Amino acid sequence: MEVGYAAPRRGIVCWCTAQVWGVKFMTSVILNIAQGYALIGCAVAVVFVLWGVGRVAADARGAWTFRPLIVPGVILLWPLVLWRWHVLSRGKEVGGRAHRPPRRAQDLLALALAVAIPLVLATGLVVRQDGPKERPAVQLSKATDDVRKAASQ
Amino acid sequence: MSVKYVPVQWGRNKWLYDAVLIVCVVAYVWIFLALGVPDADTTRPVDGAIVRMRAFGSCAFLMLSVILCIGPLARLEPRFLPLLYNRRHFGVLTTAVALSHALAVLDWYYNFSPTPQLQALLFSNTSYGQLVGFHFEAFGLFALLALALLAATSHDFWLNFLSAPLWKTLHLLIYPAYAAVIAHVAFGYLQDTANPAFAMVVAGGAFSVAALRPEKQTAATNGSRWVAGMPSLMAVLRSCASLATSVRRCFATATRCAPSPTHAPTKTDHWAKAASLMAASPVLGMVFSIGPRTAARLRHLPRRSPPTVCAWTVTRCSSIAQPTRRVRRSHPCCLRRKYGERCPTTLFHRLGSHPTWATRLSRGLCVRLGISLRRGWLLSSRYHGRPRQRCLSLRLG
Repeated sequence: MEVGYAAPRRGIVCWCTAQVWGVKFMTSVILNIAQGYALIGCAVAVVFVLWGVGRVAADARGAWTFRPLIVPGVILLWPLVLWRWHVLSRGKEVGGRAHRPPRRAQDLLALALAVAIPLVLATGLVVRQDGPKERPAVQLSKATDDVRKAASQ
Repeated sequence: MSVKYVPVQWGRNKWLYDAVLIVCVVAYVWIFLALGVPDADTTRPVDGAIVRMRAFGSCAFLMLSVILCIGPLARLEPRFLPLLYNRRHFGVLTTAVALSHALAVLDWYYNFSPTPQLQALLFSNTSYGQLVGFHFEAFGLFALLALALLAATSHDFWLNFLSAPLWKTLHLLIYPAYAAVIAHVAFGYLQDTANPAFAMVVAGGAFSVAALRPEKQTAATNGSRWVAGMPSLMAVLRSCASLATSVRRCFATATRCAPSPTHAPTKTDHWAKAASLMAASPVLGMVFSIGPRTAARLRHLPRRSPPTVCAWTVTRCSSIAQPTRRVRRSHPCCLRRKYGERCPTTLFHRLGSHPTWATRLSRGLCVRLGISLRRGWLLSSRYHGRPRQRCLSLRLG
């Protein structure tokens, strides 16, 4: 009696390959979109840092040393930057609302985090396949020899 | 009439804070490597490179847990407020450590990958549809992106440019980022480890963050109450805080004359408080500006500087950014133009960038120093509809 790995069926192999290629295609699409987003962000950052900052922030006029620090933020948030640039340049900012922090949302998020943390930790420990303790080692070769002896007899 | 942005508003306390932070991070990583690497040779499943990436990852997790605990702890005990005022540097350093962890993972597991490293990271594990063997790197990638976003917008410019509600909403990403970090650890490291030590550390940090959640402060409570997530921990912290407060009050009573119970605050006391604040202002790193009539009255007062008031003020508010000379000149002008001589005891000082400092100052300075907060609004002199300076008005008495 031969002991070895069973060859997977052809359908399963095709399904696994298709799944891998699907995920690979999706990741390549996502990364290409991210690259395009970052390239547009770089273009917006050049214009905003060199020209737009002084127009929307009076405190930034003549201040050049801090501008390299805001470049990563502009690249990451360029749609938001363009929107805020538009709002501030048109003078549409409502003064009273601009200083009200979202306290209620913070409380709700903190509550959600307090609920999510035990759930995530418990789920991670539940799906552990070997349990909290290691199983004792089993000598497979001896069992295989016994099987062969039994088969030969 | 404006303050120019600078890259970092350095001060003595910030230098000290950053130095302590960096020393702690280096010491943690060094101890972690010193304990783990000699036993982690290349013949073992966990070799030196894996120990290095675990050192950075665990350090970033602990730093993130501490960052999330600082805010609630500062509400529980004002002694944690200096940690709160410089939390921005803490967060940026945490992002740097997390980035080191990610780069170590990419350089070790995906160094010779024929596909780009990020693409290989995302599709090397395709079990997105099941919990067992879930692609836990996706959680870490999300958390790293969120941390990078928060670190990139950690500057006064972003707070002014995005406005406080939008900036604060953006920085609430720290909560899903922390949940993602917990999932990254739970579905990654905790799946195949036999060592319960770090699992206990992770659980302790996570449950501390989950338990330290202050309720919304109301006028009736006049203090922070706490949700009983972990009653024992809350009880211990409350007891420690009350004990420290009692000791401090006893010490203060023993070192100075106790006021008589019939003592009512007079105007002279208010002037004296103003004088103590003015005396403490160079040490505080901030300037209180007052009107000319108040300054003239203060000049006729005897030099009196209550040591307890000054010491407390220096301890609590030592990290507020020092305004420039132009702002100092501008404050009395704003005061006279807006209020005239009706509020001669109104004090102004420039706030930092944190949108909740007004609340913290009203709870801290005003209650402890006997100053009643008249209005906690943020004074803004309009310029094309935008606020230029953030000031807080305090009134004595």
